[in-house]
Amino acid sequence: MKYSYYPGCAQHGTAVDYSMSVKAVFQVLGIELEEIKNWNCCGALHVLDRTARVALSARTLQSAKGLDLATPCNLCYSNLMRANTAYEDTSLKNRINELLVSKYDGSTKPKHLLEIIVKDLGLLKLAEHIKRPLKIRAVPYYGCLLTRPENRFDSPENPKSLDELISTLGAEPVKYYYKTKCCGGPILITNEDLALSLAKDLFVMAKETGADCMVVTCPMCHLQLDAKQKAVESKFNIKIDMPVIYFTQLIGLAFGLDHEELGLKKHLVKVDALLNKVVK
Amino acid sequence: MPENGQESGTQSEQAAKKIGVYLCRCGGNISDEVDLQAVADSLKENKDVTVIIQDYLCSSQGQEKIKKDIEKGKVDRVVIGSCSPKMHLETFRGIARDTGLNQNLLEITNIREQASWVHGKEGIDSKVKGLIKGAIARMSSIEPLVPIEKKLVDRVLVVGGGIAGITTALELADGHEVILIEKLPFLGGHMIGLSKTFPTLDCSQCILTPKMVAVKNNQDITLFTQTEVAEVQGSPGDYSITLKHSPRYVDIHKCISCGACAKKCPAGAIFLPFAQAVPQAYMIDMSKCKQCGDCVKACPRDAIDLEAKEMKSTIQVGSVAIATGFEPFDLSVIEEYNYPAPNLLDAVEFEEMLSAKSKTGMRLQRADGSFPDRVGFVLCAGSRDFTGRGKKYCSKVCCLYSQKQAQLIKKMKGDAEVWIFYIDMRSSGRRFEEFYHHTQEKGVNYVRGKIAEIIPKPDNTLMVQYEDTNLGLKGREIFDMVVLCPALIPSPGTKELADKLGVPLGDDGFIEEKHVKLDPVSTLNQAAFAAGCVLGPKDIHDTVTEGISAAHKISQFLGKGMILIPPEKPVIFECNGCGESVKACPYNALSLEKGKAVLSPLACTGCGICVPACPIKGIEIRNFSRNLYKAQLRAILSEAPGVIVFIDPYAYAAADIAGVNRKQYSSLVRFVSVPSIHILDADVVNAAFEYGAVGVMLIEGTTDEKLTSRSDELYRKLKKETRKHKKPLRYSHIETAQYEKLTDLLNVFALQAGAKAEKRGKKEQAETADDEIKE
Repeated sequence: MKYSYYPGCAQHGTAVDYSMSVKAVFQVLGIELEEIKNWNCCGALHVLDRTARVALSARTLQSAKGLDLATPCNLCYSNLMRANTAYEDTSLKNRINELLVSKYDGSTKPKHLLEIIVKDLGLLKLAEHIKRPLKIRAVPYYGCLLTRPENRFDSPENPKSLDELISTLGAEPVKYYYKTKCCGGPILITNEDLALSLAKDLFVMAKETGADCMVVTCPMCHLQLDAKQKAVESKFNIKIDMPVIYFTQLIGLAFGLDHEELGLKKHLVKVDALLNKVVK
Repeated sequence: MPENGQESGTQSEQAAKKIGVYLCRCGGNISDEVDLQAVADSLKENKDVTVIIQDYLCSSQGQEKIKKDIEKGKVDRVVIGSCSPKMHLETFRGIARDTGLNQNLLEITNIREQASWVHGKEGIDSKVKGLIKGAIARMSSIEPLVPIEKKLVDRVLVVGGGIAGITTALELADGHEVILIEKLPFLGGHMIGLSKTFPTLDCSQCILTPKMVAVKNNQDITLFTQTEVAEVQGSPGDYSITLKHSPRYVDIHKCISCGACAKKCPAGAIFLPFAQAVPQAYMIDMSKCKQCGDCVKACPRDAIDLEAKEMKSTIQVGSVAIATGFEPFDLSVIEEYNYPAPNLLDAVEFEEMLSAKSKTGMRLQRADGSFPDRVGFVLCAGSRDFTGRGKKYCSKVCCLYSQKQAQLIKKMKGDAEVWIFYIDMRSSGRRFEEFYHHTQEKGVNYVRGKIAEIIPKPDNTLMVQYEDTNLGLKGREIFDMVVLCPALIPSPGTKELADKLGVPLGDDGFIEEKHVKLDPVSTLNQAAFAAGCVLGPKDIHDTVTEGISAAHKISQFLGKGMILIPPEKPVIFECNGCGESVKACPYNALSLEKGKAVLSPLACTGCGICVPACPIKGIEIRNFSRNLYKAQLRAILSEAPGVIVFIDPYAYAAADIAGVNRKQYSSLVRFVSVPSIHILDADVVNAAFEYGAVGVMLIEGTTDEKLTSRSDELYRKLKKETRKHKKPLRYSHIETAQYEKLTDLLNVFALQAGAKAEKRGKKEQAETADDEIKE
């Protein structure tokens, strides 16, 4: 299995831990991710001009050179998907192709890493590599962009693929009704009060389930829920102490990989208690 | 009178025929699209024909005109161009009967549902001209026939023991023998699971129990519970129906409900369904039973048999009433509601808690036993949904019963808070708006807007996020209990039963009425009637009204004592005794006697499958003979090339529904009615191609497996035998409800066939040109 790989900006910055775990886990799985050359920003949520936003993603999609384009980030994934949808408008497509050096025909399929593992590889194949079934309870948190707005590889309202992945690893996915609610990450800069209050709702609900950790699929969610957890605690005067880990880190732990190799030391919310439970 | 109903042939043998062609404007419904004058002009050269254009032929004036023309001897055969024969054939044949004209000598050509309502002006005139010419060609050589009489069985099967079935059975029992079957172990249907009924708040079981007891005590009604229809044989008026009885393990005739068994049962597996249950007898839940036999020993009446098996029995009935009711829509489909969860109920569960069937001693309570102080009702859960997840229709009763439930809560606890989330509050009908007003006065909160989601909290409360479209605000409320008011859908098994009886369903799954407004409890099967929610969501009042209506219609039907069956049956004019047709007949209507095939007309359905089966072409169906079809096809295609669509009566009904819904399709399409597509052979289909059809379709709508199981074989055979024409032939199965699929198919096929014909035309032109050059 081989994919073109579009890491997005976070993998080389704030989400180095995600990047490390992706590398380690995909090596075990024998899935080749070939990083595309000279890639650009996906536009995140901040490019207001539609033509420019679609053009950014079209350029990235064009670089996939005929392979499916893998991405680890929900935001990038969403933008790539939307670019393909926008390309159904022929006049927009023509306009953008005039701007691009290499034309894009709209045919590259972007795929989130979760989709690759659950759908392309399959959970049965994944299970073959498990060395250490995880006896923990985990919150499956998909974030708001992974399955929305349309049904791509999972239900927009009640997705189940991450739940199934967590069960496959031996852990228990808790019933979590906020699995697709916004974490507040994208509005952290513009409206911090609201952003922190959204994150608080997620944490309170997660704490009530009694889970050992939250599992995320997006570096933006992780930044918000891990790095800003302290801010939420002090703003609302509550104790949270909830480890937030990437799904690839969870897989890595079940594969028996070393937690340092998975970047788990780089988290701001300490994961020691979780690790103790896993190793035990 | 000669056997098999042929009238003395004098009329058909007269040399000159006086065919009256009556074209209906239908108040512009037809004449706005079709130039009827041009159609009339195109018939000028035919000396046998008189054409009359009239508005509203179905009115008394219109009918009188036809009547006078027949009586004065101006016409002796009638072709009517109007709405569907399913609408008015009976009306017009009434005129024929009044004037003494044989009813076969009057036919309708459908130029409304299958022409003016479904095409624009383009190509429509030549289509209608062709259709009328086809009908005239057919009428010229049709033979007058007399319907065959068959004795009716004066006994009715009522399927469903809810209020609809109970009413129908009780109304019929005064004069007719009734067999009432119910799938569950007790009578009462959904109504016995209701608490109070709107708008009068009288108690449901108080008004229903006497009726259930009346059913049990009525000498004319035989009640079978835990019973379903397994198989239907025979024909309208004379059905032989096999019933399947699931075991109850307790003999209801012996059981005196003393409860001795329940006292001894260690597993709590034997119980009385509820105190007022009819029949009054215990039953066993086999999933709990440990087969210890203590109950058998305890029973003083020897009523228990743990070895009881499923049984079958066969009954003879003349008519069937379908009263199978509804079930709630599966709410888990609406993922953002997160149903089921603790204290998140559907309205049926809420009602049952306060009804005769209550498991909480008629106490309203949450999962932990406490009283809910804050309750939210969510209307239109799965109704009025055009996203494809739910049902498009309004379920009609939810606005009223949710308000009733709100009133009940307020009555139990005055300071309880009740919220109703609605899209529109619909309370039309006598006493209903007053009820709505009264509920408002009780201090119930109404929020106009859809629920975004319901989130069950760890403390078993429920958070509801909603939009209030009156205030333009988004909101969030915590409730102790949320009641979802689900769409009402036909109960499971409705389709299977309807298929067995040859009764079509609408695309919403409910039974299709014979006429939506004017014949609302009859179906397209003249011996099958329906009442209650199987015809669409409705309240008790309307259900009872329909039950009474259905009983009346059935009584009227059975009162005649005999049934007229269509005389269009096979005639065997040549037979070498090979037995092929006998083998082909799926209804055992043909047999070999003294080396010749002989028909039992009462067993024959007139499907025509014997016609192509006969290797020497010695069988034809009266008035559907090969020659008649050929004459009709030649005339239809004489105006312009078109797509010939042979269509059976069930699919014909789908085309009519497409017309009523104004689903547009290509005016190349020309329908030719066949009793079933199995009457066709290559002889007829090749003729269609020769006369200029650009394509031929066979559309079958029957769900009778005896026929549909042979359709593929028929299609392959026809395809092979008509290959030389190199024109497209297609088969498709379209049930009555699938009218949208039908029009899509017609459009695609007409487009392909049209394009192919054009290509061929160009090629031929080029070839002719080449020939000319060569010459």
